Amino acid sequence: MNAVVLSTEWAIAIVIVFGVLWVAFGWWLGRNNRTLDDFMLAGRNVGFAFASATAMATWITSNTTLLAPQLTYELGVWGMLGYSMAALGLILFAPLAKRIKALMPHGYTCGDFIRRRYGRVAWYVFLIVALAYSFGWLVSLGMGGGILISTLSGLDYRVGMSAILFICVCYTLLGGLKAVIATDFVQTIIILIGVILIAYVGISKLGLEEIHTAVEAKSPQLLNLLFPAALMFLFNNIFFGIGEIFHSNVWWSRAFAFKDKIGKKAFLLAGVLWLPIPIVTGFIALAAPALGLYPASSDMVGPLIAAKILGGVGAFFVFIVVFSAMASSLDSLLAATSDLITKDIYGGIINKNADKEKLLKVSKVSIVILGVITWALCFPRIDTLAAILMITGAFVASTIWPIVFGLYFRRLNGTVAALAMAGGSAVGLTLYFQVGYYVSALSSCVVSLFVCLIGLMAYDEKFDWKRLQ
Amino acid sequence: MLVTYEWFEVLVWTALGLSTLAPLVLLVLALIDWKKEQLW
Repeated sequence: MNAVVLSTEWAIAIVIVFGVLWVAFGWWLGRNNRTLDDFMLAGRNVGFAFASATAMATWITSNTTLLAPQLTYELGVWGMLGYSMAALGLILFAPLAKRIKALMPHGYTCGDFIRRRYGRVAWYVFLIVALAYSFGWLVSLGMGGGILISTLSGLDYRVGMSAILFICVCYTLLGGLKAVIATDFVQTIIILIGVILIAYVGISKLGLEEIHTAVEAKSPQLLNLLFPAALMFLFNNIFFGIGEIFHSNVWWSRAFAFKDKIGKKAFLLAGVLWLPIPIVTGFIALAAPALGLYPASSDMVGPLIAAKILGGVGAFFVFIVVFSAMASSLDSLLAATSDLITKDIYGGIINKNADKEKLLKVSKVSIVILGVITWALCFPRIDTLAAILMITGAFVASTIWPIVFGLYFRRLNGTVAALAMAGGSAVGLTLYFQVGYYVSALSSCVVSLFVCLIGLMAYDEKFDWKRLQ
Repeated sequence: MLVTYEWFEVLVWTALGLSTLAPLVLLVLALIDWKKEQLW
């Protein structure tokens, strides 16, 4: 099927215009960055509106705009509902953000917390998990960019992927977290207006009843509330989403960066506003049977349907929406992973005596290095977006309980936390390959909980919270 | 057990309605923060 609906010239023009805008905006925002706190944490002074928008935008990724339709196409109604349950991660992180800011008012990364709370062994395991997830997400975002551009415009996958990575690296480098958060605000508005327009026009052109009738006639299992794989996916995705947010420095750096008393309400609002987005981006995939569309690669079903219904204008909007969604997550991930590399790996292992000025330089260099590594990993298009993302579920879900218990209970010790993360990840990965992606996060989370509960019963460590200050 | 058209309609329109509110809420909050000089 010829999916190209936007001329190559238009695609290049959009990438250049948005690229120049984001980079210039990043430079302007970062021109007054002087200290490590300015660059890594936006001066720890982010207000409610920007805080809510950045939490929301970062969670609206290419996966929300490409994977939600794909999952709806494959798993039906539960696919989009299951994806929207990832909002629980944001909502449940809200009280944690408040607790994190209170316990560690001068903290920088989630690695800081794990090291001080559990010691070095658990910290090493956590760093492996966190970096595996970060690269999994970075690769899925980079690949998403390349796939989108090549599918919609015919431009070579590698050119599109390189362009998006280059733009995000440039403005993150120039403006730090301040640029990331401010662009997130603008990108959130663009994304929301885009997906809403596409959905309204899609409904008015095709008709909801016609979509439902066609699905019921041609693929009734997509409307089945007892679709077993879809139900497993629903629960798996809840724990995956929670694990992604609870452990990732993307969210911890925001908890540190938001003004006092802002974190809890910002994450709550972001979660509530995010909840319906996967349904809005996903339901359109159910129009595939009505349109007789059967894409070769299911991760492109959303953009293809939007383009088919809306023509060139639809392709234009889809392009801008997904481009913004990818940028809003890619920049956050670059900044947060660079913080982890700078503070934990460089400052914690390689050069423990590094001062803040040195760390600021390392932070900028690591953004560039991360961009290059991501580019190299994305270069061969290795798998579908879902597979890349879902494999990281086994890792991240294993961190949920060590983080929650670690933040609220003094009893859990470092050895148990390390075992919980390692054991959960191992079981989750095994089941990912033996059974399927829809059980990996769930099983990882259950094993980790089991280990933590045994640890809580067996040991009674009285951790001193002041050690986190 | 299939989702009926009525429930499908409720689900999609509710999601679309809430999503339509989202950019308005964010813009109003930004205006308030900007007026109070509390954006950053």
